[in-house]
Order: sequence, then C-alpha cells, then structure tokens
Amino acid sequence: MAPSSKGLNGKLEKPKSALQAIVLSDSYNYRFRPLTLDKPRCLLPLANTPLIEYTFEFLALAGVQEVYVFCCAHADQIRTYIENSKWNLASSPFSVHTIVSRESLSVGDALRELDSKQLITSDFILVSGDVVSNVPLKEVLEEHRARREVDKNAIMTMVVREASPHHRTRASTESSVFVIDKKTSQCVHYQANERGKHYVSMDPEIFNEHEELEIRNDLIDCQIDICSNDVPALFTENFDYQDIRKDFVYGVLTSDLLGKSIHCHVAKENYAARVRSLQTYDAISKDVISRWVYPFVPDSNLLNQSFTYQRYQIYKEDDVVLARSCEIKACTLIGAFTKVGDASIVANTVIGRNCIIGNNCNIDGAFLWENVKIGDECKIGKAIIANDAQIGHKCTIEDGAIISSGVIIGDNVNVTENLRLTPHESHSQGIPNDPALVGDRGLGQEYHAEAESEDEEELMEASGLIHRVEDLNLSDSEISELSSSSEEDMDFVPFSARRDSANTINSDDFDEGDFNKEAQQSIERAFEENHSIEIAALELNTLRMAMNANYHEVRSAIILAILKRISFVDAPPKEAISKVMARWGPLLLKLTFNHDEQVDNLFTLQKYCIRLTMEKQFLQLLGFLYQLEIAEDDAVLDWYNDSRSAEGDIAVLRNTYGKQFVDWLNTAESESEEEEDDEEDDE
Amino acid sequence: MTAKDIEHTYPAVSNLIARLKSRKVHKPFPVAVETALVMRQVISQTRWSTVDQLLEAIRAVGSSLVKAQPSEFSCGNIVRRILRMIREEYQDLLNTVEEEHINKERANGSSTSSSVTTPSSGLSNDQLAERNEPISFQMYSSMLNLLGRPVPEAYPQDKNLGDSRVTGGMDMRAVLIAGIQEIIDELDKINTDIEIQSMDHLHSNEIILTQGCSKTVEAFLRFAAKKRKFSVIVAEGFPNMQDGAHAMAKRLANAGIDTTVISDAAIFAIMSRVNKVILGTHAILGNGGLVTYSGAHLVAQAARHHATPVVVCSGIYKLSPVYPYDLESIIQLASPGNIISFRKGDLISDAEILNPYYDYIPPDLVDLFITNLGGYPPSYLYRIMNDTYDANDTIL
Repeated sequence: MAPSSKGLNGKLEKPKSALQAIVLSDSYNYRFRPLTLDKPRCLLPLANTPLIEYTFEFLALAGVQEVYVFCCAHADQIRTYIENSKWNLASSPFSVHTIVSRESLSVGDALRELDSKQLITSDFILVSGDVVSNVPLKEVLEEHRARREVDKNAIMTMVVREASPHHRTRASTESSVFVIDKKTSQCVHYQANERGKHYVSMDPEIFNEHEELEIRNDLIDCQIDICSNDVPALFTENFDYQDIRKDFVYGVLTSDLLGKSIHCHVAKENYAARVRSLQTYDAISKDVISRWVYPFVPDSNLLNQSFTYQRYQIYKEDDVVLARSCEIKACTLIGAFTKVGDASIVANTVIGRNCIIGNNCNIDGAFLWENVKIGDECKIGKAIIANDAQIGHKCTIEDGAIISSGVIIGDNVNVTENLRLTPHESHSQGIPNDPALVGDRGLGQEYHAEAESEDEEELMEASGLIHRVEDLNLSDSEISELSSSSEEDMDFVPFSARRDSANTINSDDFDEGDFNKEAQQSIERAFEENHSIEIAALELNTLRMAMNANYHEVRSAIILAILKRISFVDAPPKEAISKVMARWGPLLLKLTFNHDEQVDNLFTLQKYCIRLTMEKQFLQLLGFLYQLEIAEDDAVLDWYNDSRSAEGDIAVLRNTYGKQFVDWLNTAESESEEEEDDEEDDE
Repeated sequence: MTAKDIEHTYPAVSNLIARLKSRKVHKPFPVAVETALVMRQVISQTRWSTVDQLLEAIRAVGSSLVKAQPSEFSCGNIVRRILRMIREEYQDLLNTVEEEHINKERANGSSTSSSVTTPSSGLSNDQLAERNEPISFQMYSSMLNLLGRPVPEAYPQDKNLGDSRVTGGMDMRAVLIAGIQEIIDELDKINTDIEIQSMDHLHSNEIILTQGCSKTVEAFLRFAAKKRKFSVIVAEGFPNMQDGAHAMAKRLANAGIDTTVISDAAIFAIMSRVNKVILGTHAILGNGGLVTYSGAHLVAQAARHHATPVVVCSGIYKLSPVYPYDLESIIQLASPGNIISFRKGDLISDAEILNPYYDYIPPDLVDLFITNLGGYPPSYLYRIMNDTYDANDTIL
C-alpha cells in the first residue's frame, strides 16, 4: 500500500536522491536533569505533545524522505515511541530509522559514527530532536544546492531565526555571535557564548575580504543545519571536534587550510527555536500556545488529540471536567480526563491528561504533565511537575521548582524556588525522603548535579526555568560601566569597536603583531583551562622563541590578557582584580627579570589601562604589582619620574593614581626607615 | 470503523489527514480536488457487498477527514456529494434491475413470486447469512423517521430485500469512479462557468470593490474586462491576504483593468463611490452566511451602510450544509507573525496577539451568489443544498 500513499507526493518530489535528515535525539548535556533521568529530552511533552513530534512535523514540512534518529540515552524508549508513532505507518511522508550509539557523548561522536556508517548519499538536514519550527526549508535547500553547484566548498548552511538579544525564546545561555557577509550570506566568523565573555575578537583580515559585514547577537540558533557529505567526514578527520558550533563551525571558519565556507540563512518569517534549556522550554511553550508555531498548534491535534480553541487562548480537550466555580484564565491548555476542583484558579498553565487538581488551588504559569495529583489549597508558581507526581494539601510550590516523575509531596510543604526534586536516591546527596523537603510520607530528595566542572554547574543555574533579565543585567553592568551608556543589546559592539580604533591608531605598536595575537590566545587558553604558571610560562617562552619575539612583547601580552580577564570576570572590579592578579600575577613575575623590565611593565600597564578605559582600576593594579614584587619601589619611582609616563593622554594616570601611590610609598618608606632608626636607637 | 482502522486500511487517507492538519493542503479548491482523488482511491480499495457498507465506509473516512481540519468545509462537501452520488447510482441500478425483473416476469408470465428473494449474483451462503437483514432499508427508514420527513419515493419494502444484493458487483464501482471523475471535471471548469456570467453583472464605467485575492473573482473580472471598461478597487486584506491581493491587483492591471489598491482602513471611506462589491469566499454555510478571509465582514458592513450590493462568486462545492453554531471553532487563528514581527521580544511576551484567519459574514449582508450553476439570492440556497446533498449526510 505504500506506493499508493506516495502517489500524490511522489509526483511533486523530484526523482533525485531522497532527501535525508539526521535527528540527534540526545542533547549531550544535563540541563533538563532530573527530568531526563526517566525520559529522554525529545520525549518530554511540550504543550502535551512530545518534542520530537514537532521536529518530525518540521521535517515533513521540509519534504524529507528519510530520517535517521540517533539515540543515545534512553534509546529503547525513543525507539519504542517511534515504532508506535504515526511516522512508522505507511502513510508517513518519510521512513524513520533509529540508530543506537550508546558510546557517543557528543554531536561530534554521533557524526563520526554517521560517517563510518556511510548512510548519507547527498546533502542532508541535521537537527536535534528538540527543534520546534515551521520554517519551510525548501527555499533554503535550493539556495544551498545552488551554492554547492558553484562552489563545492560551501559545505553547510545554518538556519537561524532573527529575534532580539533578550528575546524570551532565545536562551540566556546562548549569546553566540554570528558575523555574516551581507551580500553572500556567508558566515565569516562565529563565536559561541562563554560566560562572562562580552566581546568578539575577529581576524582583521575578515574586514579586508568582505565589503559589508553584519555582526549579530540577536539570532536564535536552533541548530538546523543543511550539511553536505563533507561535514561528517570533517568530523572524522578532526577527532577532537565535539560541538557542532563551538568546535566545528569555529574550527572551519578559523582554519586557513581547509578553505571550506559556511553560510547562514537568517529566517525573517516563520518560527524556529530549540528547547535548549528550561527557560526556553517555558518560552517555546508560550509560543506554541500563542500560535507562533502555526500550524503546529494544539488544536491541530497532530497526535489525534481532541483540542479545541477557545477565546483567550484556552485549549481544552474533550472529557475535561471543570468544577462550576473554578476559573480557567488565559493561555491555558488542559488535556483530556483532567479534573479541576471547586474555586481553583488556573492561568498560563499547561496541564496534561488525567490530572486531578483539588479545590481552592491557585496555579499560575506551571507545567503539569500527565497523571499529576494536586491536593486542596495549593499554590503553584512557574514550576514543572512531571508525570505521576503527587502533591498534598496546602502546599506551596515556588517558581523554578522541578518535581520529577514519581515524587510525592506531603501536606503543608513549601517547595522553595529552583529546588529540583527527584525520586532517585543515587542522584542526590541530601537525606532521602527528608520530611523537611517533601513532608511526611513524602518521596523524593533534592537532585544533585554531578557536574564535572564548575562551568557545568554555572550552566545548570543559568538554565533554570525562570528567566531573570535582572540577573543578566547585573552581569552586564560592569560592561555598561566600561562602554558608558550604550544600549545593553549592543554591549559587545562599542567595545570591539573601541579595540579596533585603538589598533588602527597604534598600528606601529607591537601588539598588533602576530606574536601578540598568538600569545593572547595562549594566555586565554591558560586562563580557561586553568594551567599552572609553569606550563603557561613554558608555552609563552616556546612561542616567543618560535616567533622570534622579545620579553617585552611577552609581558605586554600578559598584561593585556590579565586586564581583559579582569574586565570579564563576573564580580565587582575589586574582587576581580585580586582574584585574577593573585592567580596570574606570578606569571608576569616569572618573566620579569630586572629593574628595567619592571619599569617597562609599569609603562605597559599604564598604556593598556588607558586604552581599555580601566583607569579606575589602575591604582589597585599598581598595588598588586608592588605587592607581588613585579614592580619594586625603585621601579615605581623610576617610572614615576620618567618623562615618558607623563606624555600625552596617559599622563592622567601618573598624575592622579601614580602620585597617590608614590606618596604612599614615600611615607611607608620613611616610616619603615624610622622604624629601623628606632630599632637602631634601641640598640 | 475507527480512526485507527482508517489509518491502516487507507494510507492515502491518513496522508491527506496529516497534510490537512499541518496545513500543507489548504484553501477550498485544492482541498476539494485532493478529497475527490482520495475518495476515488477509497472506493476502488473498499470491498463491499451491500451499498450500506460502502456508504458506511465513505462516511467514516469522510468524518475523519472533516475532523482533521473542521475549517476546510469543501472537504466535507465533496464527501457529501460522493455519498449522494452513491445513493443515486444505487437507485438507478435498482430501477434497472426492477425493470428487468418486471420485464422478465412479464416474459415468464406469472411463474413464481419466490424468485424475488433468490440471489441474483454468485454470492456464497456465508455472505448471505451475514446479510439476513436488509441494512439499506433499515437505515433509510430509521433515519427518515428520525427527521420526521416523508420517504421521498416509497420503495416497496420487500422488493428491496433481494435487490440490494445486486450492487455487490464491480459494475457499480466503475460507475462510481466515473462519477467522481465527473465531480473533478466539474471542479476544473468552475471558474469558466462562473466567469461567463460576468457580462450580466458588470456594466461599463462601474466601480467594483473586492478584497483579498480570489481566483474566481479574478477570472470573473477579467472576463468582463474583455468587452467592458470598469475600474476595480482592491482592498488588501491585511494581514494574511495582502501579498495575494497585491499580486492579483497587478494581474488585473496587466489585463487592462483600471485597478487601485487601498488599505483596509479606507474601505468605509471609499464605499460611497463603489457600485458593487464582489467577494470570493472560503465557504458558504447552510444559512447563507459566509466564512471568508478576515476583513470581509468589514467590507460587507460598509456596503450595507451605503446600500451597495454585495455579490459573492463561488463554486457550488463551497456550499456546505453546516450551520454556524460555534463561530469560535470556525474562525481559526493563524500565527501572529503576520501582524507583529517575532523579533519584538518584549512586546510578544507581554501582549496577547491574535490573528484570525477567517471571518463570518451573516447571510443578510449578502445580496447575490453567483455560482457555477447560476446566480441565486441567499434565501434560495436551501434548494441547491437539497439538490446537491442528501439530508442524511449533513452530519458526517
């Protein structure tokens, strides 16, 4: 019967090789833990429909004929789900195959495996299993193919959606920056977000090669990529590539040898987003309910549900039982067989099937999955309550709480903000079934992330359900200080611009040389990977010798890197300075050998402080240099008295903070001399 | 037959259901054509021994198609027409068999009266046992009793009993498929049937107002423009139709018609100068009301205020016996992206933005329907409805 079903479709599609799509069902991170302990992310319900359904619908819209689903965690569940889904029927517009590869730990591993399996025949679509989109890919595919005809090296087209920097649907952790050539829509530079990194560093060559560039920090990167065969092959060649953006795109774009190019399609209409974190889960759920993803809205009943739309964006399935006195407010979705008790108020909430909500409850902004039971007089904020969870009477569940499947909460319990509860004891460090947390006869404990590094934990925090713009602004405030009152949306732009103008002015200076750039990178790497001082120094020395540079350049580079580091650490400036200097000051000390070089350091510091507008921090930095004996008193005095320090606009620092410090130095010296005198006198 | 069964028995149906749900197929015309094509497949795949089994199968398929996208009325309309066609063909067959029988009886003289009940086609005994009750008769009588309407043509009940078995053969299948082909052919030439009437309605130097884009209206205007000179004002139908409206205005202008595009806000202001409003429609409902694309109600109200006649051009396949009991379920909401850019993050997280795709125009605002069968006032639609659909099929 299959051919007959394809009859109508078949005529429309070209008889070329089938369009293939790879769905990566795993996200390779733990942002949805503890929810993903029992269920893979792609099967989590979004507006009562598993996420992967949205991805499949999107692929069906794109005219895909063959889909390969890569499973890693919970592979059996995904496989069973797909086998029983409508996509496995004869009427499905494409054939679905699941590939289980439990060993793969990253996108890179999955693509390497894909390459080894030789399944791909032509250009394919690579998406993750949590994409929600209605962008028609047909044009993008044609664009991509046309480009490929002309240039075999255009290996990939990324599809991104235009949004705004603080858009709710844009993950707060996802501030990746795309630099796109306006004419050819080639992506010439990519920078993934790094916490606290609020600037973009680009090869100045890029500006020579391209007439008009767009530097964009307002794109939702939902990781819809149209890739050629070369992409998996490149992953195989570069066995250390893990992430498709951070490693692969960055690697390809910065490599001079490969000569491959990557393009970027900025979708200006339609919807595209990816459920990357709990915060985007919340946002995308809202987008679905406010119909941005049309036609993939609840009342399309893609899964043979029975939703109907009602005024004020309320969706109800058949067989919902609502008490006469309960109140259902706007933006709410209620699944079949759910009961809402007397005088309960439900607003902005997604409720799954078979839930029972007691009397006098107040639920605002929550996500209740299936079979959830809620007692009387509960108050529930923006929390996720997963399948089969039970909540007793008179409980309060605050914003950001996550209650995983099977957790039972007793009566009169207050679940605090951002608390994650799991029934799995092995993932907790707290007391099992602690009555203080889950009440009497409760079941569940606080989830403890087995974070491998601090970064992961930071990400966990950043990926919480509540999207706090205030928090974001806090970390940005330091930057705002630096870049005066520029719009926060644009925070990186004036900064990089300033860097740029500075570079052009001092083009005769060393620090635009290749060495400086390489050294900067090396030091930044040391910062990020927390190398020991010895290793960092060794690396710099090697670099120095390889590039025939002198120690002055090395030290300039270190000072510049330290200053940059200070301005990007998320902490008040004072703490930042002491933290960075205490850790990395010794590196400078290690490469400073005599008096003249100490003076030289001070000159460099002075110059850079002006250039990076960090005048206010100069005094403290000076103090640290002194304290760490990178610049001893004589050196400071020599610097102070040298006429070069009083030249031009850098003189300000000498005349204000420099003077202050020297004065202090003099008094301190005289005091100590006095002390010595005293001691002598005593003798 | 449940939805699951349909999915398994007719992949083509579930394929169409999926495409209706994801709006890959939308707009009345493509939906009507696709439905007819799918129904042709269903008829050729279905095995039936009595006509009631066939009717039941078609009805089940039709009901799941209608449920998939209730706002695509033309889908249900085509199903209803096919159901009626089956009944008619069956009736014809029945009549011929009867005639033959009478002739035979006459030829044989008064040989037997029991021969009536003997099976005329080669059916096995098991099958016969299954059908010891004449379902066709049962359905007719019970349903008609329910509606409290007299039986249209009284069938002698015992005569039906034997003759219903005649229809088990393949001959009827061929007839039905030919019938569906006829429906498809009719769909294909709807615009030509409608446009030839334009000379009676469009006169020289008139100012015509239309909204959005409709292939039928466009054909209607262009046909008249061959001989007459008149001007057309196109209201753009923001937010969902403006691209189509602009394109249609351009085509009209290229055809030599004096065309003006106005924004929807100017409709009322300009209405006093308009001689006639010509609208396309998404569906015509049982009460003569219209389901149109959003903005058309405004046009109709403005026209009523200025006593400007409102003429609706539409193929008869858009005529649906459904009544607008629940307007909210009829007026679908589309993505708000056409109204406000998704980029405006602050706004969209705070504001509720609605983009109704359809509009409902009550029947009293429409003066004339021009269909492929001719022009009718709204009050006359009931007659066409009765001619086109069987009263039993109103609810699928």
